[in-house]
Amino acid sequence: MPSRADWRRGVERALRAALVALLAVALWRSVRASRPGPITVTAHSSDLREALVQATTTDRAGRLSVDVDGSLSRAQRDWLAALRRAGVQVSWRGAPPSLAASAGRSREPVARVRIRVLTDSARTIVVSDSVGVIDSVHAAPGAALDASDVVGAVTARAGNFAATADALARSERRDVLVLGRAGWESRFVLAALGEAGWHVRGRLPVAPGVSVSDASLLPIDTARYDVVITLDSTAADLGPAVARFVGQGGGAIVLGSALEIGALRGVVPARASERRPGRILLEGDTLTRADLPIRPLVGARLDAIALERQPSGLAVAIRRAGRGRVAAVGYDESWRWRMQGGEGGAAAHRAWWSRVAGLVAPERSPASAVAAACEADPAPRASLFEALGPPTAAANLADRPASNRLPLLLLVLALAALLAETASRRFRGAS
Amino acid sequence: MTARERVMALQRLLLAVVVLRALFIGASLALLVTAVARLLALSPRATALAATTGLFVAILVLRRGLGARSIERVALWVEERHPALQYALVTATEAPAPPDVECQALATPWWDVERRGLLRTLVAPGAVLIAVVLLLALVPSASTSSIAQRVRAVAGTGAGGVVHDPLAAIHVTVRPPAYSGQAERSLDDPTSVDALVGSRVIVSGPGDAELVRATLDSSAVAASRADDRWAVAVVMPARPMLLRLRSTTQGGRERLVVLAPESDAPPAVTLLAPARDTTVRAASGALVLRAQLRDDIGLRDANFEIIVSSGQEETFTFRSAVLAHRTFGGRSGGTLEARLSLDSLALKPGDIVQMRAVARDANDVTGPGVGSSETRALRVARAGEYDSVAVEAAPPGDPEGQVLSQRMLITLTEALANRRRSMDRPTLLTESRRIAADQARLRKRVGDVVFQRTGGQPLGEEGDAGVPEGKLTPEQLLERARGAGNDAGSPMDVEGDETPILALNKPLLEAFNAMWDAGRALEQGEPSQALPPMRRALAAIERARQAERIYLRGRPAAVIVDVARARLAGKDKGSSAVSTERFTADPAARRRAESFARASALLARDRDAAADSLLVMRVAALGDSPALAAVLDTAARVTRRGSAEDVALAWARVRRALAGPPVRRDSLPAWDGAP
Amino acid sequence: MSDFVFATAQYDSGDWDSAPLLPANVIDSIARYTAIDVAPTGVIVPLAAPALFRYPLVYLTGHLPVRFTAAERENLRAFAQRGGLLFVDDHNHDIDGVFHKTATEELARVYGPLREIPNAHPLYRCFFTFEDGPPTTSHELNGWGDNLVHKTLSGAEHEGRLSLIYSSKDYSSEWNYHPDNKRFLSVDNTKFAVNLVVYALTR
Repeated sequence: MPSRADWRRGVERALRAALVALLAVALWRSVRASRPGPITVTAHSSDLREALVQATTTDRAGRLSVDVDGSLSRAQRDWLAALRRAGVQVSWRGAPPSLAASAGRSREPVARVRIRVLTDSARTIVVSDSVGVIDSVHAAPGAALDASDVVGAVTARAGNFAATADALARSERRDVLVLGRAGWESRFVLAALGEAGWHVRGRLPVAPGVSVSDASLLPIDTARYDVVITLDSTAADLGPAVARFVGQGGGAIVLGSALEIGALRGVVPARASERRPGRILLEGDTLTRADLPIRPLVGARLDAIALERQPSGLAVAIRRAGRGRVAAVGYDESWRWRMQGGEGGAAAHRAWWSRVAGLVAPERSPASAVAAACEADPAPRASLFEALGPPTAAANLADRPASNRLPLLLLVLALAALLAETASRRFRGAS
Repeated sequence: MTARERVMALQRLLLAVVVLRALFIGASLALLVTAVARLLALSPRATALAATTGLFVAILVLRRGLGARSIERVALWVEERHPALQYALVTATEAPAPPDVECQALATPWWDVERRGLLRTLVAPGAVLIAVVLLLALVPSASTSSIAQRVRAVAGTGAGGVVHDPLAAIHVTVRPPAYSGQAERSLDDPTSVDALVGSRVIVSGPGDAELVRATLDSSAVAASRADDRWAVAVVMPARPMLLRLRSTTQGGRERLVVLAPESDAPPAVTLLAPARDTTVRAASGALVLRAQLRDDIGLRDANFEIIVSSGQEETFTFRSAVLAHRTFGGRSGGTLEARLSLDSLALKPGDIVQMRAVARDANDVTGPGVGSSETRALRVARAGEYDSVAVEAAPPGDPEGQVLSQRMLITLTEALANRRRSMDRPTLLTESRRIAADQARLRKRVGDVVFQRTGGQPLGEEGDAGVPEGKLTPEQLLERARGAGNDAGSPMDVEGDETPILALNKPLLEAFNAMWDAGRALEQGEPSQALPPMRRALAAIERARQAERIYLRGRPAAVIVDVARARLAGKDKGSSAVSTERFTADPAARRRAESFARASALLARDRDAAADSLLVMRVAALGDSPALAAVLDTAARVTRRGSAEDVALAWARVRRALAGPPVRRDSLPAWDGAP
Repeated sequence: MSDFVFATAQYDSGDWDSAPLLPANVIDSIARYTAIDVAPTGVIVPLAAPALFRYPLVYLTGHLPVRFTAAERENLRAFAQRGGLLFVDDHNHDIDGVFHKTATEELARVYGPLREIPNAHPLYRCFFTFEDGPPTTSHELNGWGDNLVHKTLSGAEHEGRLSLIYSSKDYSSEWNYHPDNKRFLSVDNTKFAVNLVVYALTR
């Protein structure tokens, strides 16, 4: 039967064994901790760059969570997508607004930039470029801004979120050919377009077999011309050529009796009806486009789009014909708008004619310009969804590591075992 | 101590001395080089590089003493210096020596001698080091070293090692031309100088004139020296120009100053009497001429000009004269008066006397500027014209009566507007409505004339519902005429000649409508707001009188050409022409847009360069766009000195001044680029 | 509705209607030689009236001194800026005369300094060809006026476009006759008027 002393020695051995075991466990844990394990990186939009660097340069990054509270650049989105493909768990949360922007140039020599913004709810959008703020618009849900020019990329900002768009560089325009009898309308259409920066050429019949014209007008093709304007039936001999030109991609503006030219009937969007006189002006009155005499357009084709209406009827319509565009204009004697339109009449007349010419002129942006435009970020939220999918629910992010009390427990137990074993031996009188 | 022990002790001392010597020599050299570099004001990098020579020298010296690491070589070194030892020391150090060798090795106290000698070798290097340290402490700093200054003067650097920029701060003195009587003024650091043409503009700054180059629109301008400042003097040109100042110092910069000439406006002359053109039956007596003259700077002289035309059809004779010439000695305002004796002109029926006042200013640089008044004409009516001309003192006809009434109403309304502040609201309303009632009565009389002339009936009594409320358009007037059975002719259009019915009645219709506006304002107790439409109504009635004279009393009958018969009946044929001239876009606007784009690209990289670009644009804009020029000047100044937000705002203003504000639409257009 | 209406300027200070038959004669010539749709009668338009802007080509003449009112001046300025063309002819053909002196002074205030129109200008070639520039009139050397042949016309431009043509050649006398009397002329002396109108309508 084991004696008390034997029991005691057994207990001491057990305590010694326990101490060794505890030390072994502690040693094993420390060796395991020095081996790397996955880490979680969390970041906001403002400090995302540092987080991306960390997630990329350390091989322990297991998870990257982003709180999207501001715009992410295209590069940052691509980076996140690349990390995801490399095996990092990338998730994001937040509510970035739906915001989209585009910037296009009118097809005119002095090409204004039309900036369009679209958003999911009514809000004020600040539009700026590399120089500074251009203006602000209230988009509900969309709005447009016509600026004379922009420098660099266009940014549409709503709070911390922004969409960027690039306006293509101005493209070189080809000539405009005006065909119409000698008269004020021909003269002032030529003047308006020339003053607006178009290079204009004309053929103005004055008498049978006699005309005032520019040299080498023919052939009429898209290599030489952007737009042909036929003001009356004196262009009938060139009707087939104009129709062919439109089919090849050129633009045509047809007015007055030119709308009855047989060869053009197949391409024009509508016909002209009886002439209605314009408003009689009183002293101090100025003429606007609405006050001009007009031949209202009738018989509009199904694919014709009405661009302007006046009380007396449809004034401007446009359609695509072949690869080109044709506009029918019902206004008569638009030159009166320039002469009798007060201080701003000449400028308004010029701008309107240039705009109509730009509507039908073909797009001629060089490919390199298009490629550069691809660097923009016009719809950031859509791109974010495309790159990273929908946002993650908020609760799973940024787990807090459980507090680790095991090492302390091991230490306490080891000390207790050591103390107990030593005390027992001492009290026993053993060394 | 044994001999070996003594040698070992000496070896230790020897090694220490070698190291110390190397240190002292190396340090001395490095410090000496540093002192020289300071004198020459070399850059810290160059100084540090030069100082490393001390390190190399220290290494060399150290290398020479490396032999002391061997105890045998130390013993040999002692043997060389103490031949009496006869190599006993070397023997004693190599192996345990017999006692007699030991004694011989220790016979002379060579260790004291060598120890003292070694220590002495440290004195010189130590002293040199101390001297060099003192020298370094005493060498003057680069800012005061005369050598440094001379070197800097050659290299163009200034005190304190800082580049001295003669263009850092410029001062401009403007001396206007003598005739203007304006005082001299000064500007500090301007980007633009506005002054009268011919003003002397002196731009100056601190520094040597040799360091400044100036050009005025690519012509060089010499810089002169005055004390310790440079100065460039130019005369304000007649058109805007750019004065470029360039510093020739290392890294020198360029500054632009826009010279914006202020033009001396010609005098403003108003002919007060006679107040209007006159037609008389017989010209006699004297005509009073009176004119008021004003000039922005100063008047030189003025006079009246008279031209008398006599004759008719193709035969005319003319006489001209100058009256009442008067000098003003540079005063900015004055009056001119004269009495023209009509008798002395011996005027006959059909003669016309035209009178005007002419003034000249005192501008002796580009002028003098000449200003003239409106011309008044006095006609002597021919016998056959009496029934077609409103001759003085004839009783007023119907439109004339309306003119008098409308004039009276305007006078009453002006008086009421002037007294408005001292009246209470109810009284003002009462008085205003009284005038409104008179205006309504007059409006009805005008309406009567109009609608009777178009074949309709008079409008009815006051308060009758027949008086149309609101305004009428010409189209509505013609409808009424047609409705009354009065053929108004073919449908009127904005083109073509006016038929008498419309030409005659349009002015009265305008008066009718303007009186409606005036009446409404008066009904609301707003006499000031009623005055503009009342004056429009008066002007319209005046035009109606004129139209009446032309269309009802003697307009020459027009020859109507039978165009159809004449069409292409000519024998000669024209020939086609090649058009070579075409209107081109405003090149200035395009150039400005391109310049702005270039300046914008510079803004992020170099604000000073971007500011200079704006100044160049300003010079071009001063001639035809002063508002744009002003915005560019502000933007240039802000770009140089303002915060980022101020710069962005200033550039946004420039953009708007160049091309107008952007056009906003609160919705997206349905079609791409739709107007 | 006609493409072209001949307009005569009426101004306050002088005998603006000194050539009442000229409009009909010019209209007749336009009809004879061209297919331009021209109104059968001319119009008279006050220089200070908004109606001035209905007629982008306006003819002005007279014998008497020309002094524009402020309203006429302002209207002419706007007329030129918007693209109008004013043709002024000295009915006295006298460069020393009061019409010439006063008219050129007033026109210079509105249009800036007048410059010679070179005789190679398209104006002289746009329909009929006048190799030597403006055709001489039978009145230039009739013993009246300055008795000089004026070799050139003067003018002013606005933004590169001719906005004023000034003549001392007395076309007002040359063309001031009933168009029916053309049959008595072996050479039609109104052809330059056709050039003026064609130039105005095509440039």
